[in-house]
Amino acid sequence: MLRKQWIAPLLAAPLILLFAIFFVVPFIEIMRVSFSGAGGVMAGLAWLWTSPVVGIVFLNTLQLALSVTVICLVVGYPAACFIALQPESRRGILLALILLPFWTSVLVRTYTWSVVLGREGILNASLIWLGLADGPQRFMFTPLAVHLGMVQILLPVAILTLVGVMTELDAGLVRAARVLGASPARAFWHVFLPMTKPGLVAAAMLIFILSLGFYITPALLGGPRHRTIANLIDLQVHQMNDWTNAAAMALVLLATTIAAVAVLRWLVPDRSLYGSAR
Amino acid sequence: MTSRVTRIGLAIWFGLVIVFLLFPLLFLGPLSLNASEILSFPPQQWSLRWYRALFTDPSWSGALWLSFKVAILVTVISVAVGTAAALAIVRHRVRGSAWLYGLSIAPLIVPGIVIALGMFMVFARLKWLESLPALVLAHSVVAVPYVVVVVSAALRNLDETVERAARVLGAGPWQTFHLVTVPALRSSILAGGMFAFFASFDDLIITLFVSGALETLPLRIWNDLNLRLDPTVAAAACVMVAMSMAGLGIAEFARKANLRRLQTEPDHG
Amino acid sequence: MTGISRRDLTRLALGGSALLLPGVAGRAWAQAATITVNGSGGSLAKSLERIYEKPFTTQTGIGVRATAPVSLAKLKAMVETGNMEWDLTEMGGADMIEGVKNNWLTEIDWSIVDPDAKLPAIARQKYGMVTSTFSTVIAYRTDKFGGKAPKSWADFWDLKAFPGPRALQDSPVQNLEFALLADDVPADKLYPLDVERAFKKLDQIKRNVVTWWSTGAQQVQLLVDGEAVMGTVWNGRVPPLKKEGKPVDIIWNGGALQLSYWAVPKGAKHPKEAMRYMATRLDPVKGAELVKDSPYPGFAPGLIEKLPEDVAKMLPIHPDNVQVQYTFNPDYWSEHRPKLSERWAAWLLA
Repeated sequence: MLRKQWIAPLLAAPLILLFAIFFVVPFIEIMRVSFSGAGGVMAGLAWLWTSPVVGIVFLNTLQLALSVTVICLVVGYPAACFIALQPESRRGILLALILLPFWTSVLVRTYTWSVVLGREGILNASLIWLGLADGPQRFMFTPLAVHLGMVQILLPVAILTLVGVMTELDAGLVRAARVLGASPARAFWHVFLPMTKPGLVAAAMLIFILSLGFYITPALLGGPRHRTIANLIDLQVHQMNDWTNAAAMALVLLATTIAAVAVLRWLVPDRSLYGSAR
Repeated sequence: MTSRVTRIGLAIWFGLVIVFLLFPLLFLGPLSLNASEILSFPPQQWSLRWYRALFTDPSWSGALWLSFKVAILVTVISVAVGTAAALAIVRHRVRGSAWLYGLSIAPLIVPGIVIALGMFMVFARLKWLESLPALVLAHSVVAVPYVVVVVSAALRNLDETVERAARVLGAGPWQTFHLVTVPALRSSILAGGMFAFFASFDDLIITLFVSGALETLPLRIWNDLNLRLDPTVAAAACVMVAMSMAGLGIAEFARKANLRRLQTEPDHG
Repeated sequence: MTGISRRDLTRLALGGSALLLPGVAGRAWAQAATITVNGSGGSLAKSLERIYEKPFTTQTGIGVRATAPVSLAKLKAMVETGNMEWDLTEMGGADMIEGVKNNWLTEIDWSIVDPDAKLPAIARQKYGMVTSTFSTVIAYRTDKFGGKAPKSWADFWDLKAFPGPRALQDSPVQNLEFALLADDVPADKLYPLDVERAFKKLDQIKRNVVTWWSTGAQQVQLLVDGEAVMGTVWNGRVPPLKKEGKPVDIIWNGGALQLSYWAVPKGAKHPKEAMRYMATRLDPVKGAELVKDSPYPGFAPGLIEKLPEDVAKMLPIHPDNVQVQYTFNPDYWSEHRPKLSERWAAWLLA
């Protein structure tokens, strides 16, 4: 038994060591330096509170992240089911296919959207040719363009995460439900879907967190309403030379994200999500 | 288990998703073969000049190679570190599993610029700027979370009774892990590894601060971005996509050949 | 013993690893010194290496290591941690003011850089030397207005004569000036800015600005793709595209003439060598060579005369162009930027 007790800390040690040196220490360092000025943390937080912009941008960012997450899950779930149903040998190929776009710089991928959605783009040309529009419609710099761009980048993350979970499911359980007389819909809702819950939660969390950090794609495809918190932080560091404000925003973003993840956990309670609760 | 209709529906849905994900790649060819020094579609004049630039200008080819090298190293490290941590979190009920899980996803939550600045200051003190190992480990910090999230989600689903059965039937812990746990986790380790690879391959913000004069592909693109975004970027993407498609083709061919060999040869067990 | 400061010796001594005789150590160091020059990197790095860095090393034995990108945040972090990696760095106008304000820069020893005072006074500043000039100007599609061409900021605002979407930078800096110029404020009476008047003028055009760009690459892309028919750009990128046959052109009238600098950060390890390297920018022949790749010239004496007229005309410091631009005032912006940026962001969201 003594040996067994050693296994877990040993398994966790590399991560703890890596993160201590390359994440925790740098994080403490930047917070220390950023808040070393007059007023410290409070000065940064006071700025956040009084700024006419930060609150709105925070809400806009959260809203964007939330809608992108929902779309990715809804679109990705059936696609992941399809992959999970394929024989194992074919799955690897399909997953690699889904990841092909990652080889391309985000800037180029974003640019291709303007080829399609632009004023002189393919979509507008087709609409006009078909007689469905009199002149160029505005698709670029709209919520539509931002969502398309972000979903395209994040959808593979949703699909891969879900596939990872679905392929370990015991297909026998679903079959058993069917044999015992459950309709396919019932078998799906009561057996398959609940079993994929850890995957859904993991995918939702990853995508939500990643969306919160986006700023290049929204800046290139969206309008002023798609300015994100990451963009504001970057502005404070690179142009305003104000690290106190930047660090204060980062802290609030951190707290918001943790709260959002907690809400997700609360909405989708799963006692087995942490090993400790088993 | 699933009806024909469901299967067909899923296949159509999957087809649409693939089209949505892959259509930008259709434009890569024309964009990269454009003679103009700005991205434009459709090209008015065709030219190979951007491919020439990519392969003859060491600042491009070197950046591509460096990105690739770093990403491979990051993948290896992240898969090892992340899978081990996921096992500790889910299987071994470490006290404070929840905290460990929280810590392991924290680098994704803290805005990139903040952690990059922090790393820069620490690395500057330690004289680690411009060191390849430091760059790899710095990237690993933002790559490991993917592996932990994906693998631990899969572990939660993996029926523990199977592992227990293996133990009861006399398998040692290592054997159980090697022969039961790992094969069952293969898809999720693969997925986590792919995420880790691209987390590094596409990273700009950390590289921007900690790489010194080492120039990865995203950094090379960024350094030009204030003045231009020329079709070399599309050419680089084209080469990478073509290479990975070739890799896929070879893997598929090898698999089929292997399958045939297994079917024809008698089992020497 | 040209190349070593007392601070370096102290550092060396305190380092403890190389307690050599100062004279010997100094000479050996000067021979082997490599200075780190931080710049924008990218495509231009190759030209800089060929024109300036390699010949300098051949001549002096001092190596030059180029790093990128230009970053005020990095400079600050290096000062904060006391680990100055750079001996010389490029800096924009507003960054320069931050640098001086925070005491991050070393005074330039002009007896090394420009002993005969060949540079114009504007290029010789206490903490920096002007290495390049650029201008934010109006660019437009030549094929969208039936042969008419806009001539001024008033035309930029004139949506009847020049209909179509516009693109401006996502920043109050310069846009407020442009609005005032469009509202007939004379170029020499711009500062201090009448902020209320500027925002009011911007209100008139806000709905027609389809997007607010943030990188240099975007500016021209938006015009070439037809997303906008008129917008602001930096002067350098349009002429080559025009030559290529793209229907785009710029007008110098009302452009914002800006300066960027080279500065030696506090704590630089080889300040003297860095200043010797700065002096290479006084050579007009090299300057003319660089302008071929980057139309952002410095003030090397006699540079304009070294260039063919058609090239010179495309430069922000050509006398004809200087006359019609206004001189951007970074001091004003350094002081008012935080407040105005916030107002700008709120204005965009409203």
